[in-house]
Amino acid sequence: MITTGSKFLYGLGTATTVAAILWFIANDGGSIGVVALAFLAVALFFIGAIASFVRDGHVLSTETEAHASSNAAQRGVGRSWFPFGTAFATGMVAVGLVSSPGIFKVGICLQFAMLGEWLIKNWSDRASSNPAYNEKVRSWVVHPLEIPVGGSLLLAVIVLSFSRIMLSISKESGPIVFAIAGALVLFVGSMISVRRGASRRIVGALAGVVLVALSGAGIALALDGERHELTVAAEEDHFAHRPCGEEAEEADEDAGRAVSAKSSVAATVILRDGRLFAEMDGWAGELSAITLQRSNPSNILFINEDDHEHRMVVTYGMITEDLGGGVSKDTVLEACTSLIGKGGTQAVSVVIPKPSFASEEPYSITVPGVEGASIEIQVP
Amino acid sequence: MAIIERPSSEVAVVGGASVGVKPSEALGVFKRPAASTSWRDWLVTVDHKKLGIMYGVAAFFFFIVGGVEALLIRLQLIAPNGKVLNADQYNQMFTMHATTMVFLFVMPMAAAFANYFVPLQIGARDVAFPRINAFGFWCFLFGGIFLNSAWFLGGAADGGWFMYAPNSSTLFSPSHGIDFWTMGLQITGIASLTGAINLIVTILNMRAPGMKLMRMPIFTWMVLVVQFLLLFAIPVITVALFLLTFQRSFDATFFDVASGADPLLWQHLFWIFGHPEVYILILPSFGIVSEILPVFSKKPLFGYPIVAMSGAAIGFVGWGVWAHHMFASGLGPVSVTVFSMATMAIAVPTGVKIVNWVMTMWGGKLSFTVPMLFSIALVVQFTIGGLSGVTHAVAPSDTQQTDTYYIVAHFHYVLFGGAIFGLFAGFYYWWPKMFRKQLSEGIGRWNFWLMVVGMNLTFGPMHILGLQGQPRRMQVWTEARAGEGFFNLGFWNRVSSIGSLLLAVGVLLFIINVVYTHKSKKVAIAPLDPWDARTLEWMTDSPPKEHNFDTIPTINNLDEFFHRKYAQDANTHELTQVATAEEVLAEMNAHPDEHIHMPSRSYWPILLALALPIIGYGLIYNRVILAVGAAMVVLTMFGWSMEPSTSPDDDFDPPAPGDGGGHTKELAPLG
Amino acid sequence: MKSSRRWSTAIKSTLAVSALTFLAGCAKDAPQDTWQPAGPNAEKIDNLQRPVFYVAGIVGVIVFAAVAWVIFRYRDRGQALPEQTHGKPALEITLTVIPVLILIGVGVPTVGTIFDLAKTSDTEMTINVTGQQWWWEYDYPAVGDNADVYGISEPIVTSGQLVIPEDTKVLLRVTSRDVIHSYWIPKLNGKKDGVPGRVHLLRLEGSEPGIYAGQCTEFCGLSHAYMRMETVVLSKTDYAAWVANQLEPYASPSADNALAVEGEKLFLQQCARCHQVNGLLNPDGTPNIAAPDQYVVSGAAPNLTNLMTRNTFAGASWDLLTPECRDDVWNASSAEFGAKYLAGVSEDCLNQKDLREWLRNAPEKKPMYADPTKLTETGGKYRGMPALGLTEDQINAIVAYLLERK
Repeated sequence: MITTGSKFLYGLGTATTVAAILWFIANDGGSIGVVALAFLAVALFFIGAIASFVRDGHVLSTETEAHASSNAAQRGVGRSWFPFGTAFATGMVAVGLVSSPGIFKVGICLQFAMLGEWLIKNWSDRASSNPAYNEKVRSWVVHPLEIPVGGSLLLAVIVLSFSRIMLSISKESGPIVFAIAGALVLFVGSMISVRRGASRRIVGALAGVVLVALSGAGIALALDGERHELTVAAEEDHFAHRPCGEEAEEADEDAGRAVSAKSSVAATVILRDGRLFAEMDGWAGELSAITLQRSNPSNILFINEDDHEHRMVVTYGMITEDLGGGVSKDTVLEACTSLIGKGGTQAVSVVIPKPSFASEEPYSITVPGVEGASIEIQVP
Repeated sequence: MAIIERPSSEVAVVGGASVGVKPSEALGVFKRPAASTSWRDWLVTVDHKKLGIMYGVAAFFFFIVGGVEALLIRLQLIAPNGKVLNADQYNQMFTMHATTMVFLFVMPMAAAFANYFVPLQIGARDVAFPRINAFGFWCFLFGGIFLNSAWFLGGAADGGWFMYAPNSSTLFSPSHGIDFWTMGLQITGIASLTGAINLIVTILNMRAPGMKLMRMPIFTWMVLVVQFLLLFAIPVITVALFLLTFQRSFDATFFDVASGADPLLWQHLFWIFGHPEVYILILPSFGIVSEILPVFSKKPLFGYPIVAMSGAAIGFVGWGVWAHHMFASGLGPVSVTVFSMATMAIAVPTGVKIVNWVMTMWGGKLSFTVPMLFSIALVVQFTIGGLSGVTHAVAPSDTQQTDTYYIVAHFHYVLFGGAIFGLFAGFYYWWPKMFRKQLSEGIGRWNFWLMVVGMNLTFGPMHILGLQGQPRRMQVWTEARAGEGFFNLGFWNRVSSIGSLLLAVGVLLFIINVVYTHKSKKVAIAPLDPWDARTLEWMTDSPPKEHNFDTIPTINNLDEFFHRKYAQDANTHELTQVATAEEVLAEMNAHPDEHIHMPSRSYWPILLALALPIIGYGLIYNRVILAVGAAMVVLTMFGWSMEPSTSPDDDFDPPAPGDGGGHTKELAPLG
Repeated sequence: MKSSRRWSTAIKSTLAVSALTFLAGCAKDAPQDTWQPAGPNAEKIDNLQRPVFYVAGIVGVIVFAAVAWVIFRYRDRGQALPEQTHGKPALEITLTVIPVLILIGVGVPTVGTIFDLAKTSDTEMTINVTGQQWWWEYDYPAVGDNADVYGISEPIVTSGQLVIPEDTKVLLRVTSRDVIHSYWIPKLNGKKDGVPGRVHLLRLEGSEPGIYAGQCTEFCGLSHAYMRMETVVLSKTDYAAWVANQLEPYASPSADNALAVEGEKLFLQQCARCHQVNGLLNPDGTPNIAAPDQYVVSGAAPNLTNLMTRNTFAGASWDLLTPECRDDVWNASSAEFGAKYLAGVSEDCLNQKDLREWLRNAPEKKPMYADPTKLTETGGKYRGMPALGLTEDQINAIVAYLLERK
C-alpha cells in the first residue's frame, strides 16, 4: 500500500532520479554527481519502501477498535533516550566536520541508526494496545538488521583488539598467547555446553569481563605501538620505485618467505665465501656468465650464504628519453633485491628490453660491497 | 513437519478479545502468493518437484545451446581450412560449449533429478530449505542467461573453459566475454552451493523412519557424495573467480608475471575444483544406472555397500588427483609421480562399479527397455572412457596425449557416453513418474540407437586423431599435416563431423518423443508402477501430490517397495508377488497422516536471484547499476528474513471439516 | 545353440572390424604421429605406453565380452524371478584385487620412466626456447659446451625451425614471453608447457636426420592453430656447417642487384623497427637495433638474419619452399637430407604466393590483434604483425632483399 508519507519519499526519489539523468546528460556523464544523486535516489526509495512497509507508522485505518484501544491513543511514549542519542550523534557530526573525517563518518552512521531505531520504535508503540506484542513487532522489523550489524560490530571489536595485541607482543610469545587463548575459548565453550544449567547471567558477565579486558588491552597496546620490526617494515614503502640501495638499511630477516617462485627460476645466484656464482638448469657447475632472453620476464633468485648482509643488483643498460629541445635524460636500468642476511633468499623479476650488443657496458649481476663479485648477463 | 515453524498469529489483548492483527498481514507490503494453477505459480513455487522440472527444462534448453555450439565446431572442422567460424568465434564457441555443457547442462540436470527424486526416495515431503531451493534454481537460470548474454554484448568468453592465466587477463582478452564468464559462474556457483547444503541436510535429517544410511537408494547415496564434493569444490572455484575478477576489473596482479606472480597458481586452483567437478558430473549418472539396472534385471544391486562406498571413495580420492591435468605444466618428477599414482588408484573404485553393474545383470531376468539400453550403453562406453583414462594416468604417455583429440575422445566417452547417457536413461525411466505418461518405446529405441551410433562415430575417431597428433582447440586443420592415404586425419575429421550430425538427430528424436507422447491421444496414461520398480519414489501417486506421501512409510528394507510387493515363500524359498503397486499404495494411504504442513510460496527467492545478474552488469558497465543491484539484494534479503516460512492462510491444519476424512488439501495438480 | 553361434560370430566380427579400423587408422604417415618415435626420449614413452594400451585393450575386451554374454544369456525368456542376492564378498574382493595388481604392474615402469625423462645430468647441448603469440624463438647461448664443442662462438637466434645435431642430448629451456604455450615434437618427446616467469626443461634427441613437425598444444589465444614448430635434425658435420653459416657476418646486397639494394632501404624503414638483422647498419653507420619492445606486447619479433636458411615463416605456419621443393627436402633420404636442407631457399624454390600475401596483409592471412584502432588495452602495442600497406613494387624489393638472407 502506498501511504501518504511514502508517496512523498517516492516523489523525492523520482525527482532525484530525473535530476541524476539530467546531470548525466548535462555533464557528459560526469560521474561523481551522478553517483551521488543515484545513491540519494536509492536511499529515498529505500526509506520510502520502509515507510510503505510500516504504513507511515500508523495502525490500519480500518481497525477502528485498535485505534480506540491502542497505546498511542491512551498514553504517552514515556521516557526515551532517542532524542539524547540523536543529539549526541549530531554533535559528533559537527565535531567531525571541523576535526576529523573519521568522527564525522561515525557520527553520520550513528545518526542514521538512531533515527531508524526511533522511527521503528515509534511505529511499533502504536501497533496495538499490547506492549508485549508491540515489542515483538519491533523485533520482527529491526532484528534482521540489528542482529547482523550488532554482531559484526562486536566481531570487529574482538578482531581489532586481538589483532592489536598480536601485533604488539613479540614474535616469540605470539604463538604461545594464541595457543592459550584458543585453548581457553575451547575450554570455556565446552564447560558451558556441558553444564547446561549455568546461569545466563554468570556466563554473560564472564563474557562481558573478557570483552572489556580484551578491548582494554587492545586499546592500550595499540597506543603503545606495534613491535619494532613491524614499525620498520611499515616505514619502508615496498612498492615505491627508487634506485637500488636507497631503502632502509636493515636486513629482511625472513626474506625467503616472500619468494613464491622458488622453483623453475631462470637462474639462481649464490654468494658463498666471498665468491659470486650462478647456477642454471641445463648447465653443470658454477657459472660466471648466464644467458637471459630479451624482453622476457626472468626470475633470478639470490641466496646469501655470506655472514654479512648483502643485496644483489642486476644492471641491464640504460634508456635514453628524449625530453625535447635537444635535452635527453638517461636512466640506468637496474633491479635489486632488498638487503638480506645470512641464509636469506630473495627473488627479483627483470625484463631486459635490449640485447647485449645494444649496450656499451656489459649487463651484469653484482653484489655491492663484495670486491670482484660480478656475473655477466648475455642477452642475444 | 519439523521444517516449518508456524508464527504466532493470535494476539491476546487486554480484555481477552482478539484484536485480529495477523503479523503476516500487517507487515507485508505485497500479499504473499497463494496456490494457483496459473503459470505464475511456477515463479513463486517452493515445491521441490516443480523446481526439479524447471531445473530439467532449463538445463535441457542449455543442452541444445551447447549442442548447437558443438555442431558449429564440428562443421568448421569437417573440411580443411574451415570457413564457418573465424578464429575469434571458434575460440568463443569451444569455450562456451564446455562451459554450457558442464555448468549449465550436466550439473543442473543432475540437480533436477536430485531435487525431484531425493525427497521421494527418502520418504520426505520436501527438502529442508524449500525457499533456498527455489533461490538456487533462479540463481542457476539467471546466471546461465547472464553468461550467455555475452554473445549479444560484444562476444563471449574466449579463453577456454579452463581459462588459464595469463591468457585470461584484459591484455590478452580485451572483450567483456571473460567478465561475463567469471560473474555468470559465480552466480551459478551460488546455486550449486546452496543446493549442496540443502540436499545434505535433507538426506541426513529427513529420511523416513527406519531408513538407515545403508538402506538408502543408491541414487540418493551418489547424490549425497556429489553434494559433499560440491560443498568443498565450489568455494575453490569461487576464490579463483574472485581473483580473476579482481585482476580484470580492479587491476590486481595475482597472475601478472612481471610483478612476480606464478601463473600456475590459477591452474592449481582451477583443477582442485576441476577434478572433483568431473566426479560431480558423473556420479549422479552412476546413481541413476545403479537404480535402473536392478529394476530391469529383477535383482538387487550387486554389492550395494561396495557401490556406495566406492562412490564415497571416489569422492575422497578425487581430491588428490587434480595435477594429472598438469603433467605437461612443468611440475617436476616427484609431483608428477605422486599424482600419476593417485590417478591410477582412483581407477580401482571406478572399476569396481563396472564389475558390480555387470554382476547385477549376471543371473538376472533382463528386459531391454529404453532406460535399460541407455544404462548398458553407459556401462560399455564408460569402460572405454575409463580405460583411455588409465592410459594417460601413465604420466609420460600423457605428455604425448594431453591437449590432443585423444583427451577430447576420453572425456566425451566419460561425460557423453557416461554422464549424459545416464541422464537420458533417467529421462526414460522416471518420465511416467513425473508426467503420468510413458515415453514411446518405439521412438525411444530409434533415439537410443542413433545416439549410440552418433556418439561413437563422433568421439571414437577422435582417439585416432589424437594419437596421430592433432591438438585440441585448433580453429583449422590443414591437408599438409593430415598425413597420407585415404584414412588420414582428414578422413577421421569428416567421420567425426558426420557422427555429430547423427547424434544431433538422435537428440532431436528425444524431443519428438516428448512432444508425441504428450500430444498424441494414442498414448495412454501410464500404470502406477510401469517398470516393477524397487524404490520409494514409486510408492506414491504419479505424479506425486504436493506433499508427496499421504503417510510417511516406515522402512524395513533396502528396496522397500519391492519387498512390499514380493515375498519369499517360507518353504520353497521362491519369490512370489504378494501385492500389486496399487494395493501397496492403498494400504499405505488407508491411514493418512494428520497435520501436514507444507512450506508456502514466496516471491523473495526469485527477486533476490534477479538482483545478482544486475550486480554483474553493473560491475561490467556502470557502477550505478551495481548500486541498484546491491540495494535490491539488501531489500530482498530483508523481505525474505521477515517472511515466515508458512503463511497462515496457506495451511493444511486443521483438516477441512466434512471432507470425507480427507486430511490433506490437494493443491495445484502437477504435470 | 544356434543363436549362441550367431552371437559369437557377431562379437568376433565386431572385434575384427574395430581392430582393423584402428590399425587402418594408424597405418599411415601423419607428421605428428605419437606412435612413431624417432628419438630415444619418444621411444622410452612408446615402450611404456604400448603395453599399457594392450593391457587396456584386453581388459576392455573382457568387459565387453562379459556384457555381451550377460545380454545374451540372461535376457527375459520368461524364467522365474532370480534370487535376490546382494553380492558375493569373495568374488567382489577378487575382482577388486585384480585391477589393483594390474595397476601396480603399470605403475612401477611409469615411475621409472618419469624420472628417466626428467634427467638432465647427461646434457650435451642447451638451447633456450621461448614462446610468444604466435611463434617460437630459439636462442643458442654461446657458453659452455655450446661454444667449446659445437662452435657457437656468438649467440644464434632463430625461429620457426629448431636445428639440432644428430644423436646429441639436447636440453631445451622452455619459457614464454606472454601467455602459456606448449612445445611438442611428438616424434622426439612429449610436450612441455612454456610458462612465463618459469623455465621448464625438455630433453630432445633425434636419431636420424630429418624434419620433425610439431604444434603448440596449450591454448594460447587467437592464432593458436597457427602456432607451429619444426625440429630439424642434422648430422654432426652438417650441423657444423649450419652453425658456421649462421655466424657468417652480414653482407649488404651487391650493387648489381638493384632491387635488393632498394629492399635493404625499405627493410630499414619498415621492418627493422621490430625485426633484428644482425649486422645491418643504419644510414648513419650505427648498427641497427630493433625495438620490438616498443611495438609488440611480447616484446619480440623473429630475427630475420638468416631467414632463407629456414623453410618456414610466420610461426612455421607457411612454408618458404614451394610444395615440390618442400617434398624434395622432407622426403630426402637421411644421407641426402643435410645437403638439401643446408641449401636453403633459392629464388626458384621460394613460395612467392604465401610470402607475398603475408607481406601484403599479414593479419588477414593469420588472425592477429593488429588493428591499430583496437589496441587500447595494450597501450597501442600489437600482438602479431600489422598490415604495412606496402605497394607491389616495395614487396618485390623486400622479397629480393630477403632472398639474400642466408
